[in-house]
Amino acid sequence: MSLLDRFRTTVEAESFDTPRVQRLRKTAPTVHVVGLSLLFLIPGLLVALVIEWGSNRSHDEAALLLAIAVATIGGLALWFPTEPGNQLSTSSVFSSVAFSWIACSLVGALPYAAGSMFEWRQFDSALFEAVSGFSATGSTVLSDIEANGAGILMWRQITQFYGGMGMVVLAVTVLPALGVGGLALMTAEAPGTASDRLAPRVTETARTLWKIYLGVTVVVALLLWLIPGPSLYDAFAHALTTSSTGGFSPYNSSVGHFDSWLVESVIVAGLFLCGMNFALHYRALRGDVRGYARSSDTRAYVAIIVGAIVVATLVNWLVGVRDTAGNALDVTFAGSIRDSTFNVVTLASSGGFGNARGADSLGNFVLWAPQLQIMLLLIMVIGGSVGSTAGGAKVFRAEVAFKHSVRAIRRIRHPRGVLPIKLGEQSVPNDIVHRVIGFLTTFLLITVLGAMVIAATGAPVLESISASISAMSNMGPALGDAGPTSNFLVFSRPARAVLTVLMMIGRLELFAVLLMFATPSASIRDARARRQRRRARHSPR
Amino acid sequence: MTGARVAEAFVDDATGGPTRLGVYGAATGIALGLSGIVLALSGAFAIGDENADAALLIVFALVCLGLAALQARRPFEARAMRPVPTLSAGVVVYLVVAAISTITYLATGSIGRVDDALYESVTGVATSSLTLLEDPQVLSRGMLIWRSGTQWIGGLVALAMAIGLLPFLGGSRELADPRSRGERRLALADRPVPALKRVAVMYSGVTVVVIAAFFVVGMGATDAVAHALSSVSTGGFSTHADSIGHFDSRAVDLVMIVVMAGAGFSLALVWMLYRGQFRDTRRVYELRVYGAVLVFASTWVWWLVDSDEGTGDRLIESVFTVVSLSTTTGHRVADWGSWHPGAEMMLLFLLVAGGMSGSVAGGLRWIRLVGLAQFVWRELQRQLHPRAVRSVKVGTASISEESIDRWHAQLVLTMVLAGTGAVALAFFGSDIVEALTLAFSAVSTTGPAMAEDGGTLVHAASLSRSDRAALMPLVLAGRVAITPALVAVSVVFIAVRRRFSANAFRRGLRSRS
Repeated sequence: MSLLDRFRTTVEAESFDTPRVQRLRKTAPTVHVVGLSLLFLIPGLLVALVIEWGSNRSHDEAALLLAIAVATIGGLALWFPTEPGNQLSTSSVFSSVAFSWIACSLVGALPYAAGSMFEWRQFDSALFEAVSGFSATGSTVLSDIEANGAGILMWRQITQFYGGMGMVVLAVTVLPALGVGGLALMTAEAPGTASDRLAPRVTETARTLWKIYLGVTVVVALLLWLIPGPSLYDAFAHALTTSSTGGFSPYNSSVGHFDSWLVESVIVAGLFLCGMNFALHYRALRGDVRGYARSSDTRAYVAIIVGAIVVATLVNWLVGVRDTAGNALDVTFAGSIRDSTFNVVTLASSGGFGNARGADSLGNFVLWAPQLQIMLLLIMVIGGSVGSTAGGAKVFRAEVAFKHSVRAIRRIRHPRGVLPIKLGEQSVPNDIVHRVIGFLTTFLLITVLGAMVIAATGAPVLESISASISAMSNMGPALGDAGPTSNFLVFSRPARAVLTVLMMIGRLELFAVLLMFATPSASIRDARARRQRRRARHSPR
Repeated sequence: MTGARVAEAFVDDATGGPTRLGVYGAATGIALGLSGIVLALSGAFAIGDENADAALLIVFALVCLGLAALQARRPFEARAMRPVPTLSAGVVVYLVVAAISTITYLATGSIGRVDDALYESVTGVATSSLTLLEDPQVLSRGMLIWRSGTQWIGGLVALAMAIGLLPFLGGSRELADPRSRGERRLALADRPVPALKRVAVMYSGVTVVVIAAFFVVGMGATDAVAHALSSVSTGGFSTHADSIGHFDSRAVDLVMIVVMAGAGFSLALVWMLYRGQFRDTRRVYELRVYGAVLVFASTWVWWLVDSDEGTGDRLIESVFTVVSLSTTTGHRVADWGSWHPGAEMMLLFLLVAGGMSGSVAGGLRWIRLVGLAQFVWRELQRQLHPRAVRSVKVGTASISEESIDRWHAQLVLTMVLAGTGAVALAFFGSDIVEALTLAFSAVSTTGPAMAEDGGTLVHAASLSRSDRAALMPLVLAGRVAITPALVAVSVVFIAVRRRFSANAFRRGLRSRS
């Protein structure tokens, strides 16, 4: 019998079945998943360490080693003595996911705070950068990205790669014991994938998703490497944040650094594909290419992107764009197509890359006509497809909400009629409709609340609203002074703390974060009830 | 879903013929009658004025009242009051009053261009305060009264639709009765006609009391009447370029705060108070929320606003602006567009949220927001307990799923309409902040917005004609709570489509023969 098994047997023994142990058993799945998620960070940190070692720009190996040590010790300490069991309660699911993300973000921020990127007293900025990475948002508080070492910057890219598909989905790949609980975990972290179960076993589904994700990343990396310009490092760095629709780049001017339409085309194609449901990619790989056309969600996603590209191209070309000094820029039709396509796709898929060649170029979308910027805000909110790595409220939900509104008006004519909401040929059940409108209302309320708090810290109205939307949709850039050629240093530290929370809430699609304290609070409630029962037993009648 | 199918869904296809015309005829009669009364009042005020508007206004009043009397002689069938024609007829009232107003502005020479006169009229009946006139003092006394009177008519029609008609046509009863205990009995009346009568009497009575209050605090006759008409209706038109700031009187400010806050209360609530049903009013959860919001928002704004004024003046400015925008009135004593961004965001949120249900105020209404927040809470609970059966409650009252559906639809439609409006305004030259705030302000029937160059946009003279054209449908749709506007548009759309298809059918028959 191994040491682990002996320990577990001892814990499960009748003699140890005290209320405290019972409480621990209730939180064991959460602790186990958190530990496992931390352990999965180690390969990424090791890759970054090796690159940092070879880098001649900076030497933050110690910071990366510290993070590896914390992830190893912390991960083992949480994972080793606990067992997830095969029946996860709903509250455990949400707390597992949310606490995993918090733990990974804290450990992920260590290389930044312990290295030369930030000082320890700027841990909030390091945490912002880490959360922006894991949530695949892409907002940054670095004024000079290129001043940092290649290894640390690669870690920044890797955090987005982890966050794109999710650490918990990764954990599920090695948790064969999880049955329904595993599916719930995946749904809580990566909504949409569960409804499209790709294999009979949840573990297999999680593995398939990760394989597709890895495949897309490798293909994008190879294509970028084949193009003249990007090095192998650049290719992989950008591929990691393309497949995750994250948007981090090791360069100050993001993709604009290469000034290559070929690089932009590969990234646009990657972002476009990763903004679609991964289950459809899986089916396409198995020969069912028409699945894309059958999916009403995908049709709407493509229609939104194509429509927005056409409008942006025409408006930019016909109306023109003025630089920051107010002088008209020379906009050609080809240039307009290129920059409009790149920026629309990067925002619709919640990528957030920038292709501006300087602050006074067409790629800087804060210079575009106001009507286009409002359209971009709308696209940011809608986001990509369900089951993709993209953020935002998701096209499916926007469709359901719109049709639900139309149905409410149709009820004026048919007060007692049965009026189903249809997407394509399929009717959407009423409980899904309610879940969708619940989600959207919560999304809106949190976004408005976030914008109000950010504005209260002194940020202008436009920056507050757009940053709140951008964080909730995991977009990256905002409008105004927080545009694609700027950074989030324009916001005060309290505002950035709010944005950090919003990014996390947005990535986990609200419910996991909002319900993360359900398990601890249930434990506290149980303990209180037990105490009261005990007191009642001992008190004289 | 295609546009045609969506539109078709709004339309009542029952063969109505003369019955449907009867509803529209009655709507036209009501519009003429109300316009006639306000025109007569305006004519009375114009009598002593040097301007020659008096005769014209009195003639217009007589014509309107005469036509209304003719219409009143036509029998009106109660069974014609079905949802689709009745909602469309509500929109017709606004359009007829706007048409009469446009003609009045042009005939008196107050405004020279048709589109400008139409804009001022539509803004008036929609109770938005974004006037075209930089200085309203260019108008005669009579026309100042008429201008505010259009807002008074707009407010009355909105109230009549919200609590006199919609609850009896299958609309949310919670919106009409603030007790919202799911009771079948409504506070104001259980049948449409008595409810409409009580609405008209109470609205007029409150207006008279407010006129008296303004007299007492030192306003002149024209100012008192014009401001009473535009404040009771949450319209916001003033007789001065500086709005209420012109009077520079703390007493006027305080009375105006009370009047505007009262206009944001439910009329059914006022009725309950009048009847001495204090116990019922204590149960009104929305009232408690609304009161708490006003206190919190005033404190928030007061805390954030950095002003040279003393603490007392700053407090009054903050409370005045919060109440003015949360009731979607739009009167002003300060340039809130240049305040601290946190205060601006709060004010923008308040003007989108609007006042209480069953009140004259526009916006989403607090009962909807509270209900939706409770719905969100229910959905969160459902995540933890998927099989639990829970109802959405506001206070102690259960809200039906149909109401929740309607409220959510209202939220989405407001966002879609304001978003579309903002894109249009930006296309015509406004910057992003101006376009967004202007669109939301218009849909909530408030009016003022944040100007492109900082500060508050208080009149539409600085906007282009295209901007003003884009604003008109927004304010009208916002005033009728969007749904009736969509119904009315679809009625027209379907009628045109049927006419074309009938013509095509006839052409086909002829060619065959």
